[in-house]
Amino acid sequence: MPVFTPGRHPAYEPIGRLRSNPLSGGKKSGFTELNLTAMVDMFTVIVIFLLQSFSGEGEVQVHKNLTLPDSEEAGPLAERGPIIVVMHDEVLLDGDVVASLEDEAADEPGISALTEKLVKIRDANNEVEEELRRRDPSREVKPFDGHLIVQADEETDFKLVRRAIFSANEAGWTHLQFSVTKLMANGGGGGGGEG
Amino acid sequence: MGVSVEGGGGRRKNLNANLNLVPFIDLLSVCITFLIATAVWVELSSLPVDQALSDPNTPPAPPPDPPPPPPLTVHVRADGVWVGRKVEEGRNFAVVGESYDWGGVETEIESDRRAYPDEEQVVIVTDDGVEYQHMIHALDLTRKFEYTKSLLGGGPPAPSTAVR
Repeated sequence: MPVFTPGRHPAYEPIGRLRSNPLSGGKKSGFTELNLTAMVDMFTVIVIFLLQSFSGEGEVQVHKNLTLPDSEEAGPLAERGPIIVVMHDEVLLDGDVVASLEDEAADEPGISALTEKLVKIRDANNEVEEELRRRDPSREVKPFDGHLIVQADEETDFKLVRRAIFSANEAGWTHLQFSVTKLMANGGGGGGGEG
Repeated sequence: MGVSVEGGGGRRKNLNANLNLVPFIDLLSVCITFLIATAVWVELSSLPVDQALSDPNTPPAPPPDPPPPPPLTVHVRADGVWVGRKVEEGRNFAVVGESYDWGGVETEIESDRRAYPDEEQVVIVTDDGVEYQHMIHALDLTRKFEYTKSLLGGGPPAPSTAVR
């Protein structure tokens, strides 16, 4: 029920408006004042939330048609690097097909095409490092510290993954990070798996 | 929206000023669009493994006295999982139905952790034909009990007579 202030009240709304503003001539104004305060508040909250979840390092894509295995003890991805994807019959490096395992000799411990590509990436990294050291002689000399991200379908034969790992080790990449889907302690699923 | 400023003096002057919110809303809209476009919706998790347990550039350390115990080995085979440090002391957990007995494996790793509280090394061996998810599961169980230095190995299926 509305609350009225005590005193005289007009019988009809138009009469009241006429009395309060005689110049308007009884016409209804076409302008409505928007209350922008609530909208600005909402925008501010959204911006703060998005800034908090912002990552300057970008997103690591998971190859489509790939189901990652589950893990409870997994941590966040610590280092970025080239991504090796081992599918059922293909090996990809940063999205490009490097080798088809049907063509490869299954008896070989590694995958030669993958080793060559990784050696090239390592050499390119070393050249950049040398150039930086040439410009700044005080720069610390560090051995090559190669970090690789390995993604494989959960049903892939680990023999294929092992061959890719062997190739990586041969090329000097020894720090591996196996991409997994993080499981919560109570068994619930976490993120990951999106193509 | 208005800003009210208390004014002094005798004559009452309206000191309310209107703030122009339009540029502010424009700026917020641009920020929201940019942040949504660059948002990371799926945070990937990973299990790190360093295959080189020691830096190859450093000279090898002298052998410790007494020699350290052999590392814990988790051998994932097609017909079961073998856990142990020595062949004669290890335990085999056969496949139950169509799945591995991960509960038994976990108990065995836990008892090894109690026996060797300071050890960090583990070797995970997988036979050819074992799925990737089983290796990750074995790695996950060892990480649960803080075996942080993992070495992955494998090869042709091992004969079952080598284990008990």
